[in-house]
Amino acid sequence: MGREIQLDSALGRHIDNEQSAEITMWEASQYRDLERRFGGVVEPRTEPSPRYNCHGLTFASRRTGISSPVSVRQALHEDGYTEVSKMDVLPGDIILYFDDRGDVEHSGVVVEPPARDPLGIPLVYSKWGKYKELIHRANQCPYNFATARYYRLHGS
Amino acid sequence: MGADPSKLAMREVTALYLFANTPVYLYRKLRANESVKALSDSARPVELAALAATIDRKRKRSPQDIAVAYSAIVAATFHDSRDVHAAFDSLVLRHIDWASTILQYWYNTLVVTDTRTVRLSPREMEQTPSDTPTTSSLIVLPEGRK
Repeated sequence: MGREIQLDSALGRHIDNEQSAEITMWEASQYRDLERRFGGVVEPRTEPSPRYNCHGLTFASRRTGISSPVSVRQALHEDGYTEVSKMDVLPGDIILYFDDRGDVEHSGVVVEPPARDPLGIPLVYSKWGKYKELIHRANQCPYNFATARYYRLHGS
Repeated sequence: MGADPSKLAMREVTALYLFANTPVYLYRKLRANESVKALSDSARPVELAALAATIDRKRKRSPQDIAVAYSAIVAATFHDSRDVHAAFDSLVLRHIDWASTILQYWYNTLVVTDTRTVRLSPREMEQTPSDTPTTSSLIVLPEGRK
């Protein structure tokens, strides 16, 4: 199994996490450009890394992966995030993608807010599982954008 | 014969594995994949478990290897739960991080298809005095007896 590191929320409570050790051999040439099937505005930021996932980028500074929806909600709540309406989104806000059961299946960071796009689709960067970090339109990815919501840390 | 991973659409399942941020996402996407269903149709749970175990024992594991292991686990979930339990319960997959989570999630979401008939025998009920007030003094028994 992967390694868990010490990761606490802003309230000092442990958040379950794991640095995946499943993959020990990357054959990079076989997995190049998997993102191309999702449209044109998809730009890689990094090479693949199994150490962290989308929630590890959003809530743990890329140090580790967070794969439990319960832990994501814990971080969201205990770090003090509050929901922001789509038209009030600013760069740096986070975006959460929910599945049809209400669990968070993906998260990322807003680069360009919906209000600046003619179709209201924000530009975000996010980590696609163990794959790369990518800059993409929020609907051009393998996750359910239809129920995406936005959150901000307003500060104390 | 054993489970044959060549039935899998390898690039598809590998992408699904690499893009998954959570075990539930991976499980649901692989369950919906036709090639995983084809793998399920061609192998028994014990053979699928053996395939996952073989991959788990490899010292060098590529994303494709792990994708095959998860595909084998999810393929097993199309089979009878008793056979899946028999095949997987004693298996320890040290390098397949979400194996037990996926199987537990699948087991928790199983729709029970067994039907059982329970026969209840009617019995006499006697009204006993109570110190505390009751809201009703009428008890209706089976066959309409009061």
